[in-house]
Amino acid sequence: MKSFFAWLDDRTGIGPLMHEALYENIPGGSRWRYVTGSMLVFAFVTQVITGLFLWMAYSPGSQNAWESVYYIQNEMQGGWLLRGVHHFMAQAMVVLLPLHMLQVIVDKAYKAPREINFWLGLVLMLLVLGLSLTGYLLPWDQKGYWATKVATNLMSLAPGGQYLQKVVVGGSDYGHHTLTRFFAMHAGVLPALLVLFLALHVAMFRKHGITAEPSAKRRDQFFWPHQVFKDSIACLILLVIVLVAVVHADVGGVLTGDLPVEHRGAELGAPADAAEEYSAARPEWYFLFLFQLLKKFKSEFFGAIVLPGLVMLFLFAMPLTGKVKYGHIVNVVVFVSLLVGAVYLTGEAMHEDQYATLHKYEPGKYANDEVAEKRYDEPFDASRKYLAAVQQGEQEYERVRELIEFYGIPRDGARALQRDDPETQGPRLFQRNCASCHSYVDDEGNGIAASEVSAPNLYGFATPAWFRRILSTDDKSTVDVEGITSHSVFGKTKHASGEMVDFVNGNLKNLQGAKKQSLDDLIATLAAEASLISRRDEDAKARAAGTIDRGQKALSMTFEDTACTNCHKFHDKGDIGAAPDLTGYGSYQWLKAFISDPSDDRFYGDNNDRMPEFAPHPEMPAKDLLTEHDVDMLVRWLRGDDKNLHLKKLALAAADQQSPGAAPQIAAQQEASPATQPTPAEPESLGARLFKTNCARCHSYLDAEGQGFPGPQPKEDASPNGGPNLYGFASRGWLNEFLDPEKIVTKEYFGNTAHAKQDSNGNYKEGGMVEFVDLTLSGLSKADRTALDQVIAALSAEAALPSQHDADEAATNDGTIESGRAAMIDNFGCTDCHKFHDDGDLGMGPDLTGYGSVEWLIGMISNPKAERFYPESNDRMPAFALHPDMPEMNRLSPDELQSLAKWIRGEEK
Amino acid sequence: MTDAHQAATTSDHSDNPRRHFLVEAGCWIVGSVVGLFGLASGLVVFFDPLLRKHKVPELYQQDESGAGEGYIRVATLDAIPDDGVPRRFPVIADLIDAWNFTPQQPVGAVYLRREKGEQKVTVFHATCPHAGCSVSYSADHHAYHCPCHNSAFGLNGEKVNRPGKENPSPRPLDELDVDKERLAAKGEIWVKFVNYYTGIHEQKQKI
Repeated sequence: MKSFFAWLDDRTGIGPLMHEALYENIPGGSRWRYVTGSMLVFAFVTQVITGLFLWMAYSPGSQNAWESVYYIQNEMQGGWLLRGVHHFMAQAMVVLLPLHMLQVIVDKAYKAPREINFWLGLVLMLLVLGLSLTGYLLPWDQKGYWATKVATNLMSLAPGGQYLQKVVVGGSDYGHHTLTRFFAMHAGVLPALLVLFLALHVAMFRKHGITAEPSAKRRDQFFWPHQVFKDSIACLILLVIVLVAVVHADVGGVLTGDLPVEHRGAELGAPADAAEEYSAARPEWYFLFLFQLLKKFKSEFFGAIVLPGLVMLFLFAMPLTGKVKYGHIVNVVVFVSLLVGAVYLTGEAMHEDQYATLHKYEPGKYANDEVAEKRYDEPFDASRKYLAAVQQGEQEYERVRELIEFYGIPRDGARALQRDDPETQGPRLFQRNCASCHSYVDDEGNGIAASEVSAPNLYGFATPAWFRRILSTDDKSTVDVEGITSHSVFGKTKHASGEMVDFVNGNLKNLQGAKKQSLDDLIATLAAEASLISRRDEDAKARAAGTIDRGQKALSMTFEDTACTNCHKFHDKGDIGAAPDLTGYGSYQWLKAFISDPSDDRFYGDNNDRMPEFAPHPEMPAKDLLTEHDVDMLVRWLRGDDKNLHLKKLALAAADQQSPGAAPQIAAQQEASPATQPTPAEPESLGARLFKTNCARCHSYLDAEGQGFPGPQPKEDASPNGGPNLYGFASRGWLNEFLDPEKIVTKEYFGNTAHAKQDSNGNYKEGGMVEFVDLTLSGLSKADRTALDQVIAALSAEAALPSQHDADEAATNDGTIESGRAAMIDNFGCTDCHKFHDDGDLGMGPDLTGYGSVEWLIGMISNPKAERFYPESNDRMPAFALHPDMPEMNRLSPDELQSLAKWIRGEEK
Repeated sequence: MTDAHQAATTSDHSDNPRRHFLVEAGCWIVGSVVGLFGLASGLVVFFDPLLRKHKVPELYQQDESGAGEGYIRVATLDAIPDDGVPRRFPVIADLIDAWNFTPQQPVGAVYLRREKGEQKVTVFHATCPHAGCSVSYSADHHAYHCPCHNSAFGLNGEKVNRPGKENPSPRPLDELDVDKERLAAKGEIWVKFVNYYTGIHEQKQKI
């Protein structure tokens, strides 16, 4: 060993170097007050090492940063410890910096000849603060994102700051390049500079030696081993403090081996979302004094730039001002005051945030004095807002964890999970769109309170408790729940004094025996209509016990003189128009349709009181208050579909067994309707209902006598959206009129769509069907007319309508169809624009192969913009089932498409 | 050498040498603990891949366990004509890439082949055992050819030599296991998709 060191020393000259480093003389001997410098070096080295290992698992980028940190924190072995040490050691550095500086200043170590070293120290301090600032953003959580945004926004206040800001951020807004830049600064540029300045700082320190007054009582000592020992003990204490902070002081948890997740290392918030302001955004605590300072000044420029600039200037000037008489005293006093000031401001900022927890709120304290009351309330409100945002942030993080455990993190990042999560989006949307009238408050009073309650409390919508409340009289002596006239039912709407209230208070009063039982059955039945995932078991039990069967009968049974179905529709009983349809009440589809358009005849019609129509234009979503996705989120949140993801999986699995690939919500409904139950709706009535709710806004369905659905009614503010009358679609009669120059332009066919229109000069649109019919099919010769009839027969046969079965068969046998097919190509050139079996191409006009068949109709309804139909020229018709692979995202389920198509074709059950 | 150092050499020897030794030992011990802690905690994280077990999110967890586990559905028997010609099929499985989970991604390819009238299907990994390139079937030569070097394999996966060229592959193509029960019961081909180390004689599964 000795010979190895001799060899190494001979080759490198390391011996004298080590000797010089270790046998540095300390006048007056080793002291505890000298340890701060070594502690800072230790802390920095720890940061470099832990930082390098974190680097190996971190990925900068707005879809990866949070996700990779999440993975370090929750999945990698020891990841939380590593990240925790890095996080808290950084804070320790910021605490040690002023202590080190204080020691230097008090010991006059900043004065000549050590001015330059003092300045080097100040540069090091700025570098450490820079590292803190850049590191805070890297996890890309809400807290770091919004706090750093404030910092870079303040940057723009400095002269030329807008350019500086754009360069630092890497663009006009936060994104990939903000992270790559901050990361390169944090892990590359700043540490490299820090190493450089640290080397100069230590070299300079060695040149001038330690500043100590030689004392007669204390002997000089070498640096080794006594000072080294004190330094290492100090570093050990620092490490222990940091480790205690890493486990949130939960030493018991460490010893027993079950440290709760929230005590593991550094906090991680919900993923950053530029669309969701985080109102609890605060800088890391050691920058809080700057944040607080900013609040003290009207001018942010002064508070954020001028004042800190002056302080830095003062610090840099200290070695010079220290030379003046009393200069040193002034320096010490000012520096200590600055420290005290910073500590005070930090404390004040924390106190303000925690105000509501630290002080007891007395509501009526200043009841007589509005000004004093306002002044009294203000800090409470601000603090409550902060605390609520912190709590919401924690809940969101918890929810993201659940989502990740359930779905995994997609390539789009965890934010994509949140965007499609009803539990995250529902409350936000409710707050924005519904909470001005509705509240959502549970029995304990937690939840979202309406700003002014005027409509029902929607908590527990469509559960038995909900119906119980509606169907209870206000007579508190017989019923122990809130009744129908309480604010949580009809609120202040006109329904609060409507017929339903009269019915409940008049007819359901003091029910006894069998009637009371019927009401209970009826409530269970109505609740089962919603097919809530959380109530699958209860619904199944009720069904097995026959409760649902009895309840269905009870719905059309009279209470006193009136039955539910006198006003409400329920499956095949009753009519729509007078009161909301109870069929599928609270189900996904029902609720979605209700929110979209409560004034629809199926719901409140003209009786709707104030509730806005949130998405009444399926054909023009841009005109709606809420997007379809928004409504979907709200509905699923109100129904609690995604609250318990485990239950959701069970429901999905059960539904998949019933009908593979069906939309979960629909499937959930089907799941709730096993064979013991009467078929919920015959094809015709289901089809009719679907047509009414999905198609009748544009299309009519009227036979020659005018019976059926009238289609769009002109509204005062808009022209009707007239699509074709679909009665008899693809039948010979329908096609005959369609190919008639006079009829094709009427409301019955191309109606008000772009296909019917001529341009402003009255010219036909190029390649238009109307032009073709007008020019080619007017004044036909007798032979051509016969040919056209054959075409109509051939085309109509494509649909294979049951009503034309015999006619089609006859036409096949006598060769009409064959001639018609030939005429389509030879006489009229249909295949110039349309595809028809082997002739023609897709892309211009719709495919005529199988025109009007069930399969064709389903395709058209699913996606009219498909290559096969109107890829370029679709006018307003929505795609009702755009995602064959994700049925839950579609407006209509496969079964519904089937029913609708069959109904349009007039097929009987 | 500074003056201070010169002076110090004469002032520090009155300490008790025994105490001196204890302090030095203390320095080494405490210094090692403090200095190595960061490194150790970093290394624990660094070696995470060695012990990592991939976690499938709840939604994608299959309840089927026991027999047939670990097999991936590649195709149906009907999809492979019984003409003895190998056909390439992608292997679709859930892809776990550190924090990202992407269901139903192509993770590799296999060649499936069926002899006339046979219900049995032979499956080869489409990766050359030499250096890991992707082999392709050449109908002209009735053999699998590797585009990188000169490896070639016959219809049964055995090594064959291309004219005038030496075959560098250390072993035949890797044959993969088919779930016979599912094949017999449902006519579906479920393959145990395994990646092997390349470049060595023995067939060794990647850890």
